[in-house]
Amino acid sequence: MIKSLKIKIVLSLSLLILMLMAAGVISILDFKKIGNSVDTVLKNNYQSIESAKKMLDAVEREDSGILLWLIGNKDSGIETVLGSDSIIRKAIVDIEENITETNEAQYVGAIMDEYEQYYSSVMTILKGGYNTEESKQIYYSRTDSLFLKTKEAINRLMVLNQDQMYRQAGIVKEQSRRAMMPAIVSIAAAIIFALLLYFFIGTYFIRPVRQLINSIKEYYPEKGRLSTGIVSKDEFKELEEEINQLIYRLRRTKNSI
Amino acid sequence: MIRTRVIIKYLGYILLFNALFLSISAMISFANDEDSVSALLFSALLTAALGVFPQIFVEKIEEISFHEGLAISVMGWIITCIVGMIPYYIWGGEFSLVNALFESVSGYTTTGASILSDVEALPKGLLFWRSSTTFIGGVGIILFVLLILPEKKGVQASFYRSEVSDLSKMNFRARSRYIIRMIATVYFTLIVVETILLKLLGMTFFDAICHSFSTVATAGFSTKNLSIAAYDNIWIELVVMFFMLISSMHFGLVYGTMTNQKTNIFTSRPARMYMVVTFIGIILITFQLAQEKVYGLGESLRYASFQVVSLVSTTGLATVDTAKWPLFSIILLLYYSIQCGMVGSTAGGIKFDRIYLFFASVKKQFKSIIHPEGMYVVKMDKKIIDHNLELQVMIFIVAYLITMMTTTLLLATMGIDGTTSLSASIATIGNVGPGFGDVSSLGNYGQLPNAAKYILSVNMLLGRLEIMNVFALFLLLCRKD
Repeated sequence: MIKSLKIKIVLSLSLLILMLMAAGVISILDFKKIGNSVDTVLKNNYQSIESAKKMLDAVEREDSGILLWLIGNKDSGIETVLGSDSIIRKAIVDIEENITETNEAQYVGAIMDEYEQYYSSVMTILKGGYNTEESKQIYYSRTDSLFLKTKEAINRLMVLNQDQMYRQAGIVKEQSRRAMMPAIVSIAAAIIFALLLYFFIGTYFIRPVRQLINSIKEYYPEKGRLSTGIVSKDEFKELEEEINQLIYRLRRTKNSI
Repeated sequence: MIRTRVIIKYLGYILLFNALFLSISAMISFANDEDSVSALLFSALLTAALGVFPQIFVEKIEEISFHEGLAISVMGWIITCIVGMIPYYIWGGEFSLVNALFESVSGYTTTGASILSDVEALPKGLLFWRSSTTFIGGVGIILFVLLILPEKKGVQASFYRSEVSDLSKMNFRARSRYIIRMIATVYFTLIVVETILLKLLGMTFFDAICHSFSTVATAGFSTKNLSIAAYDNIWIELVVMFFMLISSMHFGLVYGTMTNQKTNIFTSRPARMYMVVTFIGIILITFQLAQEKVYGLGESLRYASFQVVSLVSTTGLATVDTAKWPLFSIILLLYYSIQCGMVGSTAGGIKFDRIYLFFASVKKQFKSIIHPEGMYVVKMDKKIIDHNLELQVMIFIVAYLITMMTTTLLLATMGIDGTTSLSASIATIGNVGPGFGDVSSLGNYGQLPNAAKYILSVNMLLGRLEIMNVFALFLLLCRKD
C-alpha cells in the first residue's frame, strides 16, 4: 500500500501520461499504416490503370494507322502502327512487372493473346501484298473484331484494378477512422481520470486538511490527544501525529516550568 | 452509508480483470498479424490504467456493507459492459457505437444476441475477446474477482449476498468462499472437458475453446456465421447439447454429482422435473416437425432436441433456422425462452425453480381455499420455503413479465413487427439470444433501429441482474439519508 502522497500523485499522473502516450503511439502507427496503404494503392493499382490507359490509346492509334494505310497514306500508316506497337509492348512489360491482384496474370495473358492475333492480322494487311479492296475486306472481316476484342481485354484489366482501388480506398477510410479512435477514446478517458482525480483530491487532500483545521479549532488542552478522524496513513496522519507530539512536548515543558 | 471510494476501488479490480482478457486477446491478434492488435492493446492499456488508478489512492478495505456490495455488483456489470465495447468500437467494421455496446452487453450478460451479419469477418483477436466476455459473464465478474482477491471473509460474504439469488443459495451447503470455489471448479471443469471433446471431434483448438466458453456460459456466440450448423456433425451437436443442459442446472447440484454427493441432479426433484419438462418439449416438437413433414423423423429429433436444449438453457446456439418451424413449435420454444434453466446456473430467464415454486404456491393457495383452517407450506427438495422467499419469487415473476411486456410495446412503437418485438424482448430479458421473425436463430439484431438496440441492451442487463437488484440500488441511491 502506497503511503506517500507525493508518490500517489506522481503515479496517478504517470498513468494519465502513459495512457495518452499509448493513444499517441497507436494513432501514429495507424496513420503510418494509412500511408503504406495509399502507397500500395498507387503502386499496385494506379500504375496498372495508367499502363492500361496507355495501351488503349496506342491500340486506338494503331487502328487509325491501319485505316490511314487503307486510304492511301501508306508511309504515315506504317509509322503509326509500328510506333503504337512499341508503346503497347512496353506497357505490357510494365503491367507484367506489377502483377499484384488475384487473376491479374490471366488478364494480362488474355491481353497478350488478343493483341498478338490483332497485330498479326494488321501485319497481314500491311505485308500480305493484297490490293486495297482485298485489304479492306480483311480489315472488316477479321482485323476490326480483333481490335475490339483487344480493347475489351484491356478494359477488363482496368476494371479489375479500379475495383481493387475502390476496395483499398474503403480500407484506408476504415484505417483513418481507426487511427482517430484512440484519440477520441483518450479524451473520454482523460475526462474520467480528471473526475476521479477530483474525487480523490477531495477525499485524500481537502478533507484531511479540513479535518485538521476543525480539530485544531475545537481543541482545548484538557482534551488530551488531538483526534482528527483521519483514516489514511499518509503525510496527513503523520502531521496529526507530529501535532500530538508537539502538544505532548509543550505540556511537559509547561509542567516542568 | 455507501462509501464511494470503496465502490471505486472494487470497480478498479473489475477493470483490471477485464484488462487481463483484453491483453490475451491482443496477444492472439498479434500472433495472427491482425489489424485488431492496436484496438485491443489500447483498450487493455486504458482499462488497466483506469483499474490501477483507484488502487493507488484507496487504502485496503477490511469490510464492506451489503449496500456497498449491491452497488459494486450492479455498477460492476455496467462498467464492464462499457469497457467491453471499446475494442469493438475502435476496430469499426459493423460496430457503430450502439452496435458495439449491444455486442458487449450481449456477451457479458451471456445473451449471445449479435448485430453481426458476418461473424467470420472478425479477426481472431476480437473473436476471442467476444468469447471472453461470455466466459467472464458466465459466473459473473464479481465472483471471478472474489476468486482472485485475497480479501477478508466479510467482503466475500457481502458480495455473495448481493450477487447470488436467495433461491439459488438453497442448494449450496457451505460458506460463501467455499461456494465461490465450488462454482469456479464446476465452471472450469466443464470448459476444459468440453474443449478437449470438441477438439477431438474435429474443431480447431481456437473454435473449440470459443464454443466451450459460449456453451458453459450459456451464451451462444459462435465463431461461425452458421453457428453449430456450420460443422454439420452430429457428435459435435451431442457434446454441445450435453454441456448446454448441464450448464443450465444448479452448479451446487452439478458439483454434488461430480463429487458423488447425496444432493445431486438425480436426487433433486426440481432438477428431475426440469429434465422431464425439457424432454417433453423435445418429444412434442419432434412429433410436430415429423408430422408436418418439415424433416424426417430422425432429423426432426436431431434439430428439435438441439434447439429446445439451446433455448431452455438460454445458450442460443443453432443448427437450423427455427423461424421456419410451425406455429405450435414456435410457441413451445417461446415458452422455454421464458422458463429457461435452473437457478444457481449460468442460465438467465425466470428460471425453472421459480416456475416450480410458483405452481407449488398456487397449489398451496387452492388448498387454503378448500380448507381455510389448514396450515400449508411450500416445500422444495423437502425444505420448507420461507414465506418471504415465496413472495420474492412471485414479485420477481411479475416484475419480469411487466418488463418483458413494456419492452415489447416499446419495440412495437418503433414499427417492428409483433413476432420480432415479442421474441426479441423475451430473448434479451431471458439472456437467450435468438428469437423469431427478423431476429431468428440464424439471423441477427443488426437491422433493428438504434433506439431498439439501446432498449434491448438495458433489457439484457436487467435480465442478468435479475431486475430487483437494479431497482433496489436505484431506490438506495435515491434515499435522502
